Amino acid sequence: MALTKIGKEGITGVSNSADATFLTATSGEGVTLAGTLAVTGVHTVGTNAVATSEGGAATTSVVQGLAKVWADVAAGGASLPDSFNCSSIDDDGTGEYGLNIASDMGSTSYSVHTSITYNNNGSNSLRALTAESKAAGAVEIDACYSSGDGVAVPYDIETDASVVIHGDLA
Amino acid sequence: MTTNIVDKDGNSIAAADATVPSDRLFRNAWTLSGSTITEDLTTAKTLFKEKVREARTPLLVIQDVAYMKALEEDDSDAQTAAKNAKKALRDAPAASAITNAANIGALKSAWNTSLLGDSPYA
Repeated sequence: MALTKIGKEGITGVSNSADATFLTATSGEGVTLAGTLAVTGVHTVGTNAVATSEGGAATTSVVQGLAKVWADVAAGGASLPDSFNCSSIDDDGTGEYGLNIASDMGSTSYSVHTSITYNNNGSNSLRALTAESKAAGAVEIDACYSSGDGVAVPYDIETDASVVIHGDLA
Repeated sequence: MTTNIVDKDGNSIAAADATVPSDRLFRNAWTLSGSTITEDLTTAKTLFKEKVREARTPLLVIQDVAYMKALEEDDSDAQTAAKNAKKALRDAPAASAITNAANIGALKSAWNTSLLGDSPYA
Protein backbone atom coordinates (compact mmCIF):
# COMPACT_ATOMS: atom_id res chain seq x y z
CA MET A 1 0.00 0.00 0.00
CA ALA A 2 1.58 3.24 -1.10
CA LEU A 3 -0.71 5.82 0.46
CA THR A 4 -2.94 5.12 3.41
CA LYS A 5 -4.31 8.27 4.89
CA ILE A 6 -4.35 12.06 4.79
CA GLY A 7 -3.96 13.30 8.33
CA LYS A 8 -3.90 16.81 9.71
CA GLU A 9 -0.22 16.92 9.06
CA GLY A 10 -0.72 16.10 5.35
CA ILE A 11 -0.24 12.97 3.33
CA THR A 12 1.25 10.21 5.33
CA GLY A 13 2.33 6.74 4.61
CA VAL A 14 3.60 7.51 1.12
CA SER A 15 6.40 5.29 0.05
CA ASN A 16 8.22 4.55 -3.14
CA SER A 17 6.46 1.29 -3.62
CA ALA A 18 6.09 -0.83 -6.72
CA ASP A 19 2.54 -1.66 -5.73
CA ALA A 20 0.07 -1.31 -8.58
CA THR A 21 -2.46 0.07 -6.14
CA PHE A 22 -1.51 3.62 -5.27
CA LEU A 23 -4.46 4.56 -3.12
CA THR A 24 -6.44 2.33 -0.84
CA ALA A 25 -9.05 3.44 1.62
CA THR A 26 -11.00 1.28 4.00
CA SER A 27 -14.78 1.32 3.85
CA GLY A 28 -14.83 3.11 7.15
CA GLU A 29 -12.57 5.87 5.93
CA GLY A 30 -13.69 6.30 2.31
CA VAL A 31 -12.57 9.02 -0.08
CA THR A 32 -14.43 12.24 -0.82
CA LEU A 33 -13.56 14.27 -3.87
CA ALA A 34 -15.22 17.63 -4.47
CA GLY A 35 -13.38 18.42 -7.67
CA THR A 36 -13.15 16.67 -11.04
CA LEU A 37 -11.57 13.25 -11.10
CA ALA A 38 -9.56 12.77 -14.28
CA VAL A 39 -8.54 9.22 -15.05
CA THR A 40 -6.25 8.72 -18.01
CA GLY A 41 -5.71 5.01 -17.51
CA VAL A 42 -8.24 2.20 -17.45
CA HIS A 43 -10.83 2.89 -14.79
CA THR A 44 -12.35 -0.29 -13.45
CA VAL A 45 -15.73 0.10 -11.78
CA GLY A 46 -16.71 -2.83 -9.60
CA THR A 47 -20.10 -4.51 -9.57
CA ASN A 48 -20.82 -2.73 -6.28
CA ALA A 49 -20.77 0.71 -7.94
CA VAL A 50 -24.01 2.57 -7.51
CA ALA A 51 -25.44 5.79 -8.88
CA THR A 52 -27.67 8.10 -6.91
CA SER A 53 -31.14 8.40 -8.36
CA GLU A 54 -32.28 11.63 -9.98
CA GLY A 55 -34.72 12.20 -7.17
CA GLY A 56 -32.08 11.36 -4.61
CA ALA A 57 -34.23 8.81 -2.81
CA ALA A 58 -32.49 5.70 -4.06
CA THR A 59 -29.38 4.28 -5.57
CA THR A 60 -29.17 2.05 -8.62
CA SER A 61 -26.53 -0.41 -9.73
CA VAL A 62 -24.29 1.04 -12.41
CA VAL A 63 -23.27 -2.32 -13.85
CA GLN A 64 -26.79 -3.71 -13.97
CA GLY A 65 -27.93 -0.66 -15.88
CA LEU A 66 -25.32 -0.89 -18.59
CA ALA A 67 -26.15 -2.25 -22.04
CA LYS A 68 -23.92 -5.28 -22.50
CA VAL A 69 -24.51 -5.52 -26.27
CA TRP A 70 -25.91 -3.15 -28.84
CA ALA A 71 -25.92 -3.16 -32.60
CA ASP A 72 -27.19 -1.22 -35.55
CA VAL A 73 -28.06 -3.78 -38.22
CA ALA A 74 -27.82 -2.51 -41.79
CA ALA A 75 -30.42 -2.92 -44.52
CA GLY A 76 -30.43 -6.50 -45.70
CA GLY A 77 -28.89 -7.57 -42.43
CA ALA A 78 -25.55 -8.06 -44.09
CA SER A 79 -23.46 -5.87 -41.82
CA LEU A 80 -23.27 -3.88 -38.60
CA PRO A 81 -22.50 -0.20 -39.26
CA ASP A 82 -21.86 0.23 -35.55
CA SER A 83 -22.01 -2.07 -32.59
CA PHE A 84 -20.68 -2.90 -29.13
CA ASN A 85 -19.54 -6.31 -27.89
CA CYS A 86 -20.47 -8.03 -31.17
CA SER A 87 -17.96 -10.29 -32.90
CA SER A 88 -19.86 -10.93 -36.13
CA ILE A 89 -23.26 -11.23 -37.77
CA ASP A 90 -24.61 -14.26 -39.60
CA ASP A 91 -26.77 -13.77 -42.67
CA ASP A 92 -28.91 -16.86 -42.17
CA GLY A 93 -31.54 -16.16 -44.82
CA THR A 94 -34.28 -13.76 -45.75
CA GLY A 95 -34.96 -11.75 -42.60
CA GLU A 96 -32.91 -14.12 -40.45
CA TYR A 97 -29.76 -12.96 -38.75
CA GLY A 98 -27.50 -14.20 -35.99
CA LEU A 99 -25.80 -11.62 -33.81
CA ASN A 100 -22.70 -13.17 -32.27
CA ILE A 101 -21.60 -11.76 -28.92
CA ALA A 102 -17.90 -11.18 -28.33
CA SER A 103 -17.88 -11.40 -24.53
CA ASP A 104 -20.63 -13.88 -23.69
CA MET A 105 -23.60 -13.29 -21.46
CA GLY A 106 -23.68 -15.31 -18.27
CA SER A 107 -26.82 -17.23 -19.26
CA THR A 108 -29.84 -16.93 -21.52
CA SER A 109 -31.76 -15.06 -18.81
CA TYR A 110 -31.04 -11.69 -20.32
CA SER A 111 -33.26 -9.03 -21.76
CA VAL A 112 -33.05 -8.39 -25.48
CA HIS A 113 -34.79 -5.44 -27.09
CA THR A 114 -35.31 -5.16 -30.82
CA SER A 115 -36.73 -2.52 -33.09
CA ILE A 116 -36.83 -1.77 -36.77
CA THR A 117 -36.71 1.55 -38.58
CA TYR A 118 -39.95 1.80 -40.45
CA ASN A 119 -42.42 4.43 -41.55
CA ASN A 120 -45.75 3.16 -40.28
CA ASN A 121 -47.93 5.36 -42.47
CA GLY A 122 -51.18 3.47 -42.19
CA SER A 123 -51.19 2.09 -45.71
CA ASN A 124 -48.51 -0.57 -45.43
CA SER A 125 -48.24 -3.76 -43.47
CA LEU A 126 -46.79 -3.99 -40.00
CA ARG A 127 -43.06 -4.69 -39.68
CA ALA A 128 -41.42 -6.34 -36.72
CA LEU A 129 -38.06 -7.51 -35.47
CA THR A 130 -38.17 -10.38 -33.02
CA ALA A 131 -35.69 -12.46 -31.06
CA GLU A 132 -36.13 -15.98 -32.40
CA SER A 133 -33.86 -17.55 -29.82
CA LYS A 134 -31.23 -16.63 -27.26
CA ALA A 135 -27.93 -18.22 -26.32
CA ALA A 136 -25.16 -16.94 -24.06
CA GLY A 137 -23.00 -16.21 -27.08
CA ALA A 138 -25.53 -15.20 -29.70
CA VAL A 139 -29.05 -14.00 -30.34
CA GLU A 140 -31.02 -14.95 -33.44
CA ILE A 141 -33.24 -12.19 -34.76
CA ASP A 142 -36.00 -12.32 -37.36
CA ALA A 143 -37.41 -9.50 -39.46
CA CYS A 144 -40.91 -9.94 -40.80
CA TYR A 145 -43.99 -8.17 -42.04
CA SER A 146 -47.60 -9.05 -41.49
CA SER A 147 -49.36 -10.44 -44.54
CA GLY A 148 -52.99 -9.69 -45.36
CA ASP A 149 -54.14 -12.68 -43.33
CA GLY A 150 -51.94 -11.83 -40.36
CA VAL A 151 -49.10 -14.24 -41.01
CA ALA A 152 -45.54 -13.12 -40.26
CA VAL A 153 -43.64 -13.22 -43.54
CA PRO A 154 -39.82 -13.06 -43.37
CA TYR A 155 -38.31 -10.12 -45.20
CA ASP A 156 -34.96 -8.36 -45.38
CA ILE A 157 -34.55 -5.22 -43.29
CA GLU A 158 -35.31 -2.20 -45.49
CA THR A 159 -33.54 0.62 -43.66
CA ASP A 160 -31.91 -0.64 -40.49
CA ALA A 161 -32.72 -2.29 -37.19
CA SER A 162 -31.53 -2.09 -33.60
CA VAL A 163 -30.71 -4.68 -30.98
CA VAL A 164 -29.86 -3.98 -27.33
CA ILE A 165 -29.12 -6.54 -24.62
CA HIS A 166 -29.18 -5.95 -20.88
CA GLY A 167 -28.34 -8.53 -18.26
CA ASP A 168 -25.38 -10.24 -16.69
CA LEU A 169 -22.16 -10.88 -18.55
CA ALA A 170 -20.33 -14.11 -17.85
CA MET B 1 -16.77 -6.82 -38.19
CA THR B 2 -17.16 -10.15 -39.95
CA THR B 3 -20.33 -11.05 -41.82
CA ASN B 4 -20.95 -14.72 -42.38
CA ILE B 5 -23.35 -15.99 -45.02
CA VAL B 6 -25.20 -19.19 -44.15
CA ASP B 7 -26.77 -21.11 -47.03
CA LYS B 8 -30.00 -23.11 -47.04
CA ASP B 9 -28.18 -26.20 -45.78
CA GLY B 10 -26.34 -24.45 -42.97
CA ASN B 11 -23.00 -24.12 -44.73
CA SER B 12 -21.21 -20.91 -43.85
CA ILE B 13 -18.65 -18.64 -45.48
CA ALA B 14 -17.30 -15.20 -44.72
CA ALA B 15 -19.11 -12.72 -46.92
CA ALA B 16 -15.85 -11.15 -47.99
CA ASP B 17 -14.71 -14.46 -49.47
CA ALA B 18 -17.93 -15.35 -51.27
CA THR B 19 -19.31 -14.71 -54.72
CA VAL B 20 -23.02 -14.11 -54.30
CA PRO B 21 -26.06 -13.78 -56.61
CA SER B 22 -26.90 -10.32 -57.88
CA ASP B 23 -29.94 -9.97 -55.64
CA ARG B 24 -31.51 -11.52 -52.53
CA LEU B 25 -34.92 -12.26 -54.03
CA PHE B 26 -34.37 -15.99 -53.56
CA ARG B 27 -32.08 -15.67 -50.53
CA ASN B 28 -33.46 -18.80 -48.88
CA ALA B 29 -32.51 -20.79 -51.96
CA TRP B 30 -28.83 -19.87 -51.74
CA THR B 31 -26.50 -22.82 -51.82
CA LEU B 32 -22.76 -22.74 -51.31
CA SER B 33 -20.23 -24.59 -53.44
CA GLY B 34 -16.62 -23.71 -52.85
CA SER B 35 -16.68 -19.95 -52.48
CA THR B 36 -19.55 -19.44 -54.92
CA ILE B 37 -23.17 -19.10 -53.89
CA THR B 38 -25.87 -19.89 -56.43
CA GLU B 39 -29.64 -20.19 -56.24
CA ASP B 40 -31.07 -23.70 -56.06
CA LEU B 41 -33.81 -23.68 -58.68
CA THR B 42 -36.05 -26.25 -56.99
CA THR B 43 -36.00 -24.33 -53.72
CA ALA B 44 -36.50 -21.06 -55.58
CA LYS B 45 -39.63 -22.46 -57.22
CA THR B 46 -41.00 -23.39 -53.81
CA LEU B 47 -40.32 -19.86 -52.56
CA PHE B 48 -41.91 -18.43 -55.69
CA LYS B 49 -45.08 -20.45 -55.14
CA GLU B 50 -45.25 -19.30 -51.52
CA LYS B 51 -45.08 -15.71 -52.77
CA VAL B 52 -47.87 -16.42 -55.26
CA ARG B 53 -50.05 -17.80 -52.47
CA GLU B 54 -49.35 -14.73 -50.36
CA ALA B 55 -50.27 -12.41 -53.23
CA ARG B 56 -53.47 -14.23 -54.10
CA THR B 57 -54.92 -14.30 -50.57
CA PRO B 58 -56.37 -10.76 -50.58
CA LEU B 59 -57.43 -11.21 -54.22
CA LEU B 60 -59.45 -14.29 -53.29
CA VAL B 61 -61.20 -12.28 -50.59
CA ILE B 62 -62.14 -9.67 -53.18
CA GLN B 63 -63.57 -12.34 -55.45
CA ASP B 64 -65.47 -13.91 -52.54
CA VAL B 65 -67.18 -10.57 -51.98
CA ALA B 66 -67.86 -10.19 -55.71
CA TYR B 67 -69.40 -13.64 -55.83
CA MET B 68 -71.65 -13.02 -52.81
CA LYS B 69 -72.78 -9.73 -54.30
CA ALA B 70 -73.54 -11.42 -57.62
CA LEU B 71 -75.44 -14.10 -55.76
CA GLU B 72 -77.55 -11.55 -53.93
CA GLU B 73 -78.29 -9.77 -57.19
CA ASP B 74 -78.91 -13.01 -59.03
CA ASP B 75 -76.33 -11.97 -61.63
CA SER B 76 -75.20 -15.24 -63.20
CA ASP B 77 -72.58 -13.58 -65.43
CA ALA B 78 -70.93 -11.92 -62.47
CA GLN B 79 -71.09 -15.19 -60.53
CA THR B 80 -69.31 -17.00 -63.37
CA ALA B 81 -66.69 -14.25 -63.64
CA ALA B 82 -65.93 -14.41 -59.93
CA LYS B 83 -65.89 -18.18 -59.99
CA ASN B 84 -63.43 -18.22 -62.89
CA ALA B 85 -61.26 -15.58 -61.27
CA LYS B 86 -61.08 -17.61 -58.06
CA LYS B 87 -60.18 -20.74 -59.98
CA ALA B 88 -57.40 -18.90 -61.79
CA LEU B 89 -56.04 -17.68 -58.48
CA ARG B 90 -56.21 -21.14 -56.96
CA ASP B 91 -54.39 -22.58 -59.97
CA ALA B 92 -51.73 -19.86 -60.03
CA PRO B 93 -49.04 -21.73 -58.04
CA ALA B 94 -49.32 -24.65 -60.46
CA ALA B 95 -48.69 -22.54 -63.57
CA SER B 96 -46.58 -24.31 -66.16
CA ALA B 97 -44.38 -21.22 -66.48
CA ILE B 98 -43.24 -21.87 -62.92
CA THR B 99 -42.90 -25.61 -63.24
CA ASN B 100 -41.03 -25.39 -66.52
CA ALA B 101 -38.76 -22.46 -65.67
CA ALA B 102 -35.26 -23.54 -66.63
CA ASN B 103 -33.39 -20.88 -64.68
CA ILE B 104 -33.85 -18.09 -62.16
CA GLY B 105 -34.45 -15.48 -64.86
CA ALA B 106 -37.26 -17.52 -66.38
CA LEU B 107 -38.72 -18.09 -62.93
CA LYS B 108 -38.80 -14.36 -62.20
CA SER B 109 -40.61 -13.86 -65.51
CA ALA B 110 -43.21 -16.46 -64.58
CA TRP B 111 -45.08 -14.00 -62.35
CA ASN B 112 -48.53 -13.47 -63.83
CA THR B 113 -49.00 -9.73 -63.39
CA SER B 114 -52.43 -9.70 -65.01
CA LEU B 115 -53.65 -12.14 -62.37
CA LEU B 116 -51.53 -11.32 -59.31
CA GLY B 117 -50.55 -7.68 -59.80
CA ASP B 118 -47.07 -6.20 -59.61
CA SER B 119 -44.28 -8.73 -59.46
CA PRO B 120 -42.08 -8.79 -56.37
CA TYR B 121 -39.37 -10.11 -58.66
CA ALA B 122 -39.40 -7.26 -61.18
